[in-house]
Amino acid sequence: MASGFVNNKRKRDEAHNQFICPIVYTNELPTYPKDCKFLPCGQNIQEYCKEPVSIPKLDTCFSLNFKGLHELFSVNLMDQSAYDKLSENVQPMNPREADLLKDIRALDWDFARLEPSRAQECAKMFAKERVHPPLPGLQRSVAVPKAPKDLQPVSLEQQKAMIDASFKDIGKPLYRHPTNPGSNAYPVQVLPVFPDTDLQKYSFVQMSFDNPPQNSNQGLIRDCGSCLINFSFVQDIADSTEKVYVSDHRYREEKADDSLERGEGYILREENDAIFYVGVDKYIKLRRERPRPHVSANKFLLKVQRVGMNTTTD
Amino acid sequence: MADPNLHDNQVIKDGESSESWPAFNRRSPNPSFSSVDQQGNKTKARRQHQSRSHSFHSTANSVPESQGPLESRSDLNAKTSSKSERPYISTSNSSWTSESSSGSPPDSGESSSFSTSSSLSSSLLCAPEPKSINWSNPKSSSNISNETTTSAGQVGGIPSFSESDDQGSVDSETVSNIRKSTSLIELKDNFNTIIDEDNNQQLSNEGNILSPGTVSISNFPSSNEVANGLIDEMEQDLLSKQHSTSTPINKSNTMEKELLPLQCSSFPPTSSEGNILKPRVNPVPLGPSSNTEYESNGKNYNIEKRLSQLRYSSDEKESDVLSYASSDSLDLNFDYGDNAKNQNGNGMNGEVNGDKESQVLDIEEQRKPFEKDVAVKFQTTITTQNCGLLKGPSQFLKMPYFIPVESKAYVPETFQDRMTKNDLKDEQSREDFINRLKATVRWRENENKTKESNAKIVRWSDGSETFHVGNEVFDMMHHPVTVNQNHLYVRLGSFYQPQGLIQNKLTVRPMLDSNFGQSHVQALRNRATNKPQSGCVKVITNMGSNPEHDHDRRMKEELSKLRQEGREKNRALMKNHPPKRDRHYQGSDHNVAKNAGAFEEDDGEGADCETSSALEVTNEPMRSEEDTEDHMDDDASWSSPNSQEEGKQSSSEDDLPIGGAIRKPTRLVYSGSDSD
Repeated sequence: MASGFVNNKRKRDEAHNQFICPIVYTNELPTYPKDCKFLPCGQNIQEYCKEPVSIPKLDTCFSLNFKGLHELFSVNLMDQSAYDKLSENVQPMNPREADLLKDIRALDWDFARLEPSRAQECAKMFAKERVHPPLPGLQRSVAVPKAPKDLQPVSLEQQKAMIDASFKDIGKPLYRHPTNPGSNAYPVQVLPVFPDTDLQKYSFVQMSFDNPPQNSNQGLIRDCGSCLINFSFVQDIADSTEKVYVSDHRYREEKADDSLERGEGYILREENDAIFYVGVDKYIKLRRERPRPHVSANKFLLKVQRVGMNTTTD
Repeated sequence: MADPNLHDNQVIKDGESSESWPAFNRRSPNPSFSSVDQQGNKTKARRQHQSRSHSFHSTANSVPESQGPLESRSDLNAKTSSKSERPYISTSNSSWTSESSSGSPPDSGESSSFSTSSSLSSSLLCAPEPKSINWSNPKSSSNISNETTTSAGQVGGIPSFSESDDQGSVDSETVSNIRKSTSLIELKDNFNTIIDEDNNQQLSNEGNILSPGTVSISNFPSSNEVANGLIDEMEQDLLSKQHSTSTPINKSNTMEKELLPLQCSSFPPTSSEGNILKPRVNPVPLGPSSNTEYESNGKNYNIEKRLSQLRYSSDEKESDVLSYASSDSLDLNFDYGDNAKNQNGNGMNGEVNGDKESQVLDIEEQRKPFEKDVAVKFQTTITTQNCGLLKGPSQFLKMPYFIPVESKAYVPETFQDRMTKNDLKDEQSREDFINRLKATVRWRENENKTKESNAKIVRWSDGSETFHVGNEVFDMMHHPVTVNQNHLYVRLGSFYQPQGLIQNKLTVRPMLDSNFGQSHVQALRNRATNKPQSGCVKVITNMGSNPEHDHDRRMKEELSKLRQEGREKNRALMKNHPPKRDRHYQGSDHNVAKNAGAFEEDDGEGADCETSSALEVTNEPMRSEEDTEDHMDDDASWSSPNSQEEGKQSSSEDDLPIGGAIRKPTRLVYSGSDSD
């Protein structure tokens, strides 16, 4: 039918035009397959073709809007009723990829939506906290079953069962490296973890100094309220259990940064094929004070008497 | 020549006798004895003698009382005797002083009379006790004068004796006078003896009395009045006794009476000396020292030696006296007591100082190893077990928040529900709760009382470590700490005991392949996405007009317009200002022109005057020529045909009216010359 349409005027003009080459090339298309499908083309294509092929009957049936990328790979323009309901043969997407692709928004050919309304714009501008609108799923929301709103609490019995299960699971033997399955490593030593009951009565503190004191193992730090004073050991008093210390430096406590990832600190000590842990109650960040003339002139003398057990300290 | 001397001697003697008698008269307070008759005088003398004897009796009576058992009474009596003896001492002193005053102008005759009296007295009474006389003589100034007179007499002895013999052989009156004088001499001798003895005592008493007397007089003037009152009473008593003893007296009785007071006087001096010897030493050496200066006899030298010895001894005694007196006299006790207190106080101060010194030494010993800058001292007690709590190497584990640790033992019977409302907000929180429940590090006691833990650390042959909690596995990472800023301390009240340096850190990381890891990662992602957005870039796609933004722009535009308007106004004002400036400029030009005109006027005036003077001086016939020239010039100016020149001149005159003013004075000058 297409060959039937002939533009006689152009031929007449071309016959007279001396600049048109008389040689004519022809490209014969292969025969149409049985399941042949035709892609729609827009108006722009017709402008760049010499003799575009157009099927008026089919052009009116096609829509230029796509609803998703998955539809690109199986399109049946002849019969669109199949897309009104889900097909059973659809394969589910890999969950990892699904998580990665969750934030990707589908393409939209609706140019009107490119310009958001004024209300939307104002809302975005003045929103203190951006709340992502619920993204449309890769599948239609109608088909996705909603989770029940009322969550069932975990009962006490279930909790106890889980705890008992953890004690049972820890006793299972280990055959391969859990984090590196490919390695041939084998367990050399298995150390259970217990709290150190002897040291639990003490209050451990972690101190971070900008300028650590010298001979810190032999010194003492006294909390004087506004600052902490480091006393360095000087000498032992003869014929007595007393020791003499002299004030060395002053430190001021700084506020430590609170972070969720910090967690808690524990001191691990290995003993008798087991590991004992003691919690560190406090973390103190200290900054050394600049020595001042009137302060550095005065030194403090500390006399410490070492006593045995069953005695209270001041 | 001899006669006037004799008359003078007589007159002098009479004068002396009169002087002596008034003295006695002065002593007696009774007016009946004030008569000038000789008999009255004699009776007075006798009565005085009796009174003296009575006084001795009174002293004799007092002595036996003193001999009684009480020594204090003897002391009191001695004091009373000393008090009673005072008036005699004073009277004798006064008499001798009067005599010495009368003797101040004396001649050799007077000296001879005194020498005779002294020699008689010495020959009569003092022969048995020459030492006492010699000892007593130097104490009194009158004795000194007598001795000097005796020496003078001895030098010129012959004329003196010859004079006396002549007088005795010649007249009976003189003999009677001599007898009278001898009686007087006896009285005097008795008086002298009494005085001497008394002087021995009295002088000693004087030594005692005078010093306290002077002190008392100087310190307490009322004591003089008291003494005077006492003296009056004594005199009245004596008078009463005299009346009672009006009977005649035998010589033997008189001798006995005379001896009794001597005997009586012997006792009190000893006792008084025993009591008063110590203070005697103080005044004694002063008198002899003055005497020794005038005397040059060997005895005097001996006396000097004794005095010198006494001086030394007195010094020692003084010290002893002071030492002894400290215990007796209140004043001295007070003084020495003060000294003692002071000394005791000094001792106490010494002790306190010693204590302080010891304390200071202790403090210094404590501070020696340190510096003196130690201001405050603290003292505390710490148990020895607090040192080295962490035995052996230790590692510091930073446990993440998603792995809780339960240090208490797990007991199913006492376990309580840990679920809260926040754990049921959504499915994610519920899953987190379940994961935390499974991943909690716990321990429990078995039926066999052995400890079981649901956590373990596994060391693999390749050196890696894994942390297992229940069914969950975590990787353990070792981080060696190179900086020595982190230290471990144990809190002991207000003190922190060091426990070591953190040298190795451990961290636990979940496995992403596991369910726990996935849920953990998802939770982290959710937190990250739900975190409030800050610092984001806002893209405005609508480029249309916005009243809010336009408002600012319009405001700016309006402000700029206002500024432009202001500038235009200022420009307009500036345009209006230039004419004013031109006017000022013109004014300045005008002033300059005026100044120039003034200069021109001055120059013109000076030139005209000079020229006029020159003309006057040089030649008179030239004046006519000049005048004519001037007139011609004037005519020429009026008769010039060129209108332009006239116009120029008129314009110049109009433009410069000062030029016209310049010419006027020249005309006046010329008119003057014309008149000449």
